[in-house]
Amino acid sequence: MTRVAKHRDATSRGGLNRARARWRRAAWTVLAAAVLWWILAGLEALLEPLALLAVLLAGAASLVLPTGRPLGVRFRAIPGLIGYFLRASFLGGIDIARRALDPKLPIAPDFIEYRADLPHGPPLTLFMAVLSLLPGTLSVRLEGRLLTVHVLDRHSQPEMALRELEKRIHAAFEDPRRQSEETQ
Amino acid sequence: MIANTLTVILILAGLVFFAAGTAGLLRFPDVYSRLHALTKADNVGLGLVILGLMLQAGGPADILKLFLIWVLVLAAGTTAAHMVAQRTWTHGEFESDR
Repeated sequence: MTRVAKHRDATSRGGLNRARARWRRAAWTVLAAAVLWWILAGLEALLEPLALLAVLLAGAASLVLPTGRPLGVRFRAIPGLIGYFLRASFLGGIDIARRALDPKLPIAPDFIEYRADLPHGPPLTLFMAVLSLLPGTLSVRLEGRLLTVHVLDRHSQPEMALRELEKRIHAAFEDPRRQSEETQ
Repeated sequence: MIANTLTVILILAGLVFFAAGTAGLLRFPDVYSRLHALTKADNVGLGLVILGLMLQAGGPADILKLFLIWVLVLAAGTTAAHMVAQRTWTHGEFESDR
């Protein structure tokens, strides 16, 4: 329903805005394809006619294919999220290595339920993916917005870490629900 | 010389994490706990190995390629862990654990 509303909104704003967004997306696709080709095959291979053709065709494909729902990423929040992820996942690795090598095997596994307030789609998917790399948590199951999370140590207060991660992902994406609520 | 020393240190540290992940895989009592060990320890282990290899890279393209490998393995690892966990939740433990 929100997608329909959004679509109507976009058409009422005029086709010009949308066309510009489409060309911008195509330019980004061309850039990404070229960089990827350069990384994988080197600069000489990128300058081959076939490679340039493939890169341009990638851009053309993004012009022809229908645009999905705009992601609404807040780029200013991304470095903070990445920094947090690197730090937390490194701590996660150290934590698990310590527990695995400790002769006493100090784990107290348990399941907890966690209600995430993130919108479905990329934000929630990212949340579930990253939480499996944080210290002591593993995403098991998602029903609606209710997550089943396996925790390695039930005494370690995993909810606080999850809430912190959720807050940071929340800051990195614009919430489409909030916009649709405003228009209602 | 310094780069070579750092490479050796970083890769050795990475291997410790791989070994710890494998120890966890063998020692932890159930599927879920073993997944913890695999995903988290291997993520850090591979990260350190990749950092060490970056110091030996021939140019920016090689560095970016190594970084890309780490990101892809990370995405694949965490997704696979979630899918195994979900499957275990709906279908029960695997046969060898019964």
